[in-house]
Amino acid sequence: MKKEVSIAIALGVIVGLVVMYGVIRAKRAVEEVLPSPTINPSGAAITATPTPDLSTSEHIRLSEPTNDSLVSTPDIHVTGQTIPNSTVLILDNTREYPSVSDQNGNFSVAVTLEAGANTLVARVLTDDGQTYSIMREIIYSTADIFATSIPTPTATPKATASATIKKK
Amino acid sequence: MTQHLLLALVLAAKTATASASPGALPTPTTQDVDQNIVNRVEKVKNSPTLGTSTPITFGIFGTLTKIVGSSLQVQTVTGALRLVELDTKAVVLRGLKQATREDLELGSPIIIMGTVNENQQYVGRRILLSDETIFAPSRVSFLGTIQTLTTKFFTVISAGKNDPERWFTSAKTKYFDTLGGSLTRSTLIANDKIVAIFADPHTASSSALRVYSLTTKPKVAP
Repeated sequence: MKKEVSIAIALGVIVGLVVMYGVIRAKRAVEEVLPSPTINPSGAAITATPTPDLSTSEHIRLSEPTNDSLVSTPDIHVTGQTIPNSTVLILDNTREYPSVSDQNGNFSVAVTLEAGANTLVARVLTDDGQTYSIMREIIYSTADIFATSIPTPTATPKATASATIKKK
Repeated sequence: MTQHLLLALVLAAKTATASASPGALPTPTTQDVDQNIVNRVEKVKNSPTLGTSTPITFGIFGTLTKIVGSSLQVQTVTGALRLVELDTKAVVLRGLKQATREDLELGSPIIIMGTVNENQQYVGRRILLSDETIFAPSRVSFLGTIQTLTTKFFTVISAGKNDPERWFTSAKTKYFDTLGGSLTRSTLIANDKIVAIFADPHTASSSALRVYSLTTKPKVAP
């Protein structure tokens, strides 16, 4: 009886070791096929964390447009200064406009606003992985703000508008 | 009054230059500072507050957070609070229809346009009762260089990192050059520098909304 128990235990240990060896081999094989991805395996978030958007940043400045602007033409330039020779991204309500700052850090990008509320984000993406953003809120409207009755609006919020980009 | 204002601007320009963070941005030269001052002075000289008849206008949008009499407090997208005094002749609109001040609801999205008075206060002339669509969806962006491509993802060396990452794409992902011209996915090749845009928040399995190639030369119309 004792002998049979010992044999059973020994067999159990051997089977356990074989299974463990198989698991280790399989894991190594998967790692060889997928070379060290840095995506969080839990699926929670990608490792790179963007800097939260703020209305001011010491790494990127905007001279135009100013915050709380009310403009009556859709075509504006987003102009400013940031880290020289860096990738600059302007984001409006729906699209993005990539550009590159010059050797002095200057950039200027032409953007066509949507009628109504526009959120513009100027973001610099550096080669060392840093991201800095600055935000502007602008209203584009052709309405007469001094009218005391309701005129027919010519620019209604969220109307579709095409966007263009021109480098200076 | 005007002289004081000019002096204050000159001092403000010099102070702003002196307090700039070293290394973050190129240090302005004395010439730049002088030009900055000249520009500001010209701006003040041409300012409507010094006699011309064109009023300074403003436009804000955000969430209505407080109503006290004819004063409104609005929280903007950046989280800043703006105080607006409603003009007695202010027009309130919901879409194209006239509304009343009684229709203003706390917590509602709102657009206000108006003028800035001599005390630098916002005076609201036109109030638009709006909806959540005025808030643009937040997006995150990543810069990287393509290593390999498959039909479902790019393997990318993200800026500032050594290990490769996977940036997933889908049939809905759009590809563009730096001037906004459409590209096909097959245009992209290894070693291309790209910027990928994702919806915020995003997870490891999120697909890019748009990918911009910084390497592909844009086609310029003749």
